[in-house]
Amino acid sequence: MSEAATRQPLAEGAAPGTGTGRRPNMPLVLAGIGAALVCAVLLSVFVGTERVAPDRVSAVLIGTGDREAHVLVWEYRVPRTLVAVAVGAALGAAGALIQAYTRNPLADPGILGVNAGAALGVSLAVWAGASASVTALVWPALAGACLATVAVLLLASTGRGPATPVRMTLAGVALAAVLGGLATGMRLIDPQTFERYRSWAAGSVAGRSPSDLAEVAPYLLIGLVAAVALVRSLNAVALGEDVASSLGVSPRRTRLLTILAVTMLVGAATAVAGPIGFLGLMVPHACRLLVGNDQTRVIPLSILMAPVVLLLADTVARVIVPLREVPVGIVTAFIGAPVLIWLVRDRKVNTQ
Amino acid sequence: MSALIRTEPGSLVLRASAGVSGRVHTRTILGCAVMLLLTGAVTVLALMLGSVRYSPAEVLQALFSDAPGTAELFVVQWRLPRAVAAVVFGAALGAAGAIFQSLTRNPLGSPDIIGFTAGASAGGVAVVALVGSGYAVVAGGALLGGFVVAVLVMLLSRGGGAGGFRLIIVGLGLSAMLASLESWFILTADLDIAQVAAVWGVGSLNGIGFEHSGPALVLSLLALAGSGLLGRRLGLLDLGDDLSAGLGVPPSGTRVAGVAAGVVLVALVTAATGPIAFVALAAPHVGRWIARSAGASLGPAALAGALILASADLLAQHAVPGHSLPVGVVTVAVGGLYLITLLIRENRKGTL
Repeated sequence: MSEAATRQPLAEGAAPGTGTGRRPNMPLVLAGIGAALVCAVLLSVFVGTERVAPDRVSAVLIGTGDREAHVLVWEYRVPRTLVAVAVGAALGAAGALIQAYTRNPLADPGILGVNAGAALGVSLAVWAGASASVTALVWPALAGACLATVAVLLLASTGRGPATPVRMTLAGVALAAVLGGLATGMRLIDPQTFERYRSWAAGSVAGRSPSDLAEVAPYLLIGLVAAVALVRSLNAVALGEDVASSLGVSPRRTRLLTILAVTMLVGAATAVAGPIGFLGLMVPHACRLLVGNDQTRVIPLSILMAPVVLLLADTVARVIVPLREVPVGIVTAFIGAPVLIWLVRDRKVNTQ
Repeated sequence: MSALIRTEPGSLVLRASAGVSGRVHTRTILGCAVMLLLTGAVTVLALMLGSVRYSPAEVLQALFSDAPGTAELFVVQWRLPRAVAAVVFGAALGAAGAIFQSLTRNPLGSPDIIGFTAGASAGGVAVVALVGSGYAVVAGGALLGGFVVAVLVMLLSRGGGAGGFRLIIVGLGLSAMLASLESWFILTADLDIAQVAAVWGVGSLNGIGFEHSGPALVLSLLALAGSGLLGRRLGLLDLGDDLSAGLGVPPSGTRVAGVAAGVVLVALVTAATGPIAFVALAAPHVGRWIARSAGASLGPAALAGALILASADLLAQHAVPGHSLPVGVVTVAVGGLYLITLLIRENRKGTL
């Protein structure tokens, strides 16, 4: 498959000048994002609610340093940073996948109701008596995410013509409303469920341990590998199902793998960190602005860039209100919703 | 003043001497009568059912004549406020939905979708969590929040064209921001307050009494009567701005009055009960369908709203034995399902 054929702009979401016209320098972009990731990781380790002087933190990192700083860095900040990197990569990949597959620039696991599906799964599990630990919640979250992904894709593809962004978005809103209503009903019947649920529901990477991460790592890895393996198929499917078939790509297989990957990524990330919205919406757009519409570039770049955004958001969440952490999901919503509004206002989205 | 009522095939024509005349379709009258009867039946049922059951005769006796003290206590003092509130608030939401849908020229342009409800909800939850839960302060917070968000949505979606797609997406983005903010308020508050705020945030008629809801009921009825005067002007607006101006009704005046009426109606209800989702979306559609009326048709929408909310509240009280759910849980789940069927139907027609 030639490069020129795969660089076909997506039906929607392609701003003029970002697609075929400019040749982005991929190694340069990669190096830039990589450097940003390193900076964000360092920032996340050095900045926190508890003010620890930078030299104490660096002393801990090179193996010396006092015990308080040691505990603070290795037991709180480093695990949290790792969780943020993993969750960010998963959500960025899921957003890029779902936008590429649906050719819908507004697609996002949060907007399409996949998060709500995972949340319903978690509510059901907590209500049925499961503890609020990641181990107990990962399967319900996966099941709920899978159900919601399939349902929203089915809903959007009923009727005539391809699923337009409006149709998909509204299908997601409706689905999220139904699932959210059920989950809320369950929580309000039982105050204990409510108590355990409310800390999870805002979306946070704080207080997660490395073992929580290890619990979901297999699913995240499967999802990320599937996402990277899908890039060429998604490029082909972007040209239309007939062209894809003639290029030897099975649209059916692509669809199944996409659903599988999105389910794994969103379900696992949600089980660890709760529903974090808008990350999967923003990051692929930023990547497309940088490197055009070629999925072989957008998806890997999204996987790298989303952790940067999530880490920065999490660092802001720690310091924005003095002595009180804000869950990172709130920060991402506050960055992401304006991006969504800007996308619609700037006519980057073809409404028809 | 002499009035003349003439029947024509399919409609009634009313002529009064003061230059006032009107034409009402028989189907509309019949449809409204049916909705009125059904609402009455649901209300009586709501008064009958509960931990102590009464026959319809006992209910009527308790309402209209001297009855044994206990029946009077249960029926008139405990159940009647809730039943009346469901009917009046439902009518207010239905009328508000019809006004907003007419102003936005969009069947989905209800206060729920354009973010007004989310604004009122966030304002109210913030007040409950930070200040206190008196009616006046919560009403103030809800009104302020709803109004600010409505203005923001209108400003940000200006120039979006008649399709209203931008309106929906902008509303969606702001709703997501506000929902995340709301979840943070709930997270930071004490569990008791958090649960009060959460129940309020879903929309509930539980524990409503005349001493609390009385002012809201009276004001809602007044606002309903006021918006009834807008019906004809909205009908002219449906014909288009130019035609409306040509017939001597400036469209900008109608818009301002309509937004004011819609905002006041929703805010009054939201302050008393919390945001009850999707009634304002579905009621105008149902009203138009049953009454076969065209355009804004506030009357059928208000009746349908009353019927929907009364039925939903009946369901919320008795669906799960032993638990009285907030009515918002029922309306959000059922309304989401309705939105899904609406989408499927629009998809079939290929209009979205």
